[in-house]
Amino acid sequence: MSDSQLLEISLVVEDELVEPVSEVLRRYVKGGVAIESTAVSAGAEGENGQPVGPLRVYGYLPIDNALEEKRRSIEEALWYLSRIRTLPEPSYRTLRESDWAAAWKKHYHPIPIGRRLLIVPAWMGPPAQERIPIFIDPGMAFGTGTHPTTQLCLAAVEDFFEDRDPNGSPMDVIDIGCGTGVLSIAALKLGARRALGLDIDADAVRAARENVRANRVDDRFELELGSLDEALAGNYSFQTAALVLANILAPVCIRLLEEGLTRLLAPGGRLVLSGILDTQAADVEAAAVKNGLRLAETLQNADWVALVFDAADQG
Amino acid sequence: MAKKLKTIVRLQIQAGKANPAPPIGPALAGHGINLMAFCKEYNARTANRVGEIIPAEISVFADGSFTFILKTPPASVLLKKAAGVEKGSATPPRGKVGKVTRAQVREIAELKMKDLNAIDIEGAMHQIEGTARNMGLDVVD
Repeated sequence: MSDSQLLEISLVVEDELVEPVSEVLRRYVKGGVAIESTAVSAGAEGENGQPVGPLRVYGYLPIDNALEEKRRSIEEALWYLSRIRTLPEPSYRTLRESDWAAAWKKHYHPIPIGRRLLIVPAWMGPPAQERIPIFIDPGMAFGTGTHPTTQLCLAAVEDFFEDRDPNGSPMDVIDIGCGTGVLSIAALKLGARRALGLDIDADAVRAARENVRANRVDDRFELELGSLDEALAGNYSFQTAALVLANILAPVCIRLLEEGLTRLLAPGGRLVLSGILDTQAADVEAAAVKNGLRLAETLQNADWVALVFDAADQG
Repeated sequence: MAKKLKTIVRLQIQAGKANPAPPIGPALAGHGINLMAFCKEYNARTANRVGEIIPAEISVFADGSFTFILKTPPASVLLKKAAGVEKGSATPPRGKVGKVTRAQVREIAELKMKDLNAIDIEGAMHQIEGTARNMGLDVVD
């Protein structure tokens, strides 16, 4: 990862000046603004607290050739605002991407999933537990193992391998939108023969490659930048699998179904769709049924669901 | 036992397009929040409103867990849309960029009422008018 630098600009203002100050910053900063309380009042149950007093408005500027001009424009606009209402001088701080990209790691611990799996941060050693460790460094990719959608999918993968005859024919996995590769790595460790992981995000493919190596499954995991179209076109070493996974988001799952996702399923195969809010489940199910699938199981965690489908012609 | 609230962070970001880049990464990572978990949740809940700025208000607890709710778009964004201008004045209050009608202000105040700490609609309108003036927008009848 390149270690780019940012200039953080922030100022503490009263509630009613938050909007105009944010509006000024939004014109020049990257991505949007953040506003943070300087103090909070806890609600009755500690859940519905409110900011108290002034707020700090933050924006971030990339450190490049345009920096000085943007900074000057911001200061000028703030100066005009300060003629209406007094404003403090903005404060500046230089940040490195590596500072904040790694800051949350110290809060990340091994997480047991389902009956047999344990997600372990890649920077930790193997834990003294009987569970099967899956080493994951999320980098900048989706799939840290902490999110309900990933946990539901992992549970479905575990169920799949428990239900199948270990002496039966070997089983492959295709993972569309593989993110960190966590699902396919789990499948390989639970008994899959080969996995094909595809993602349209180069950062994800990069992160997944590291994870594949950390878990020593390189020889059985084909990892590529791509998606359903490329898989259907036969661009990879295999084109159908007993287990197909897509842990993305409901609208994407529906689109993939419409674009032929079920053609990746080997006869008698199983499809697991996740990243779906419970309010979206009916639409996803309808799209799957229309494409010849039968809902075998719904797994739920908070308001997220994973839908498990089999081919409708199965008993 | 109730969890201890550490801070509240509001992000004014593009619906459906959250990623760990600024401002989300730097604003949240220091609080121990799992960035990707937040981005995935936010994108799932705002996917049908791409193109809008949908603020998220995140309550960060002392143990690194968080909850968030979505808020109405910023008043300044709604005002610019109402006035049909791209950006606010670089030189307010004298440099004017456009105008909004009091009816438009009322409409925005009604939409944002639940997010403003105003006692009644007049109070909310007063706040929105203040924002309009600070942006170089005249409020007309």
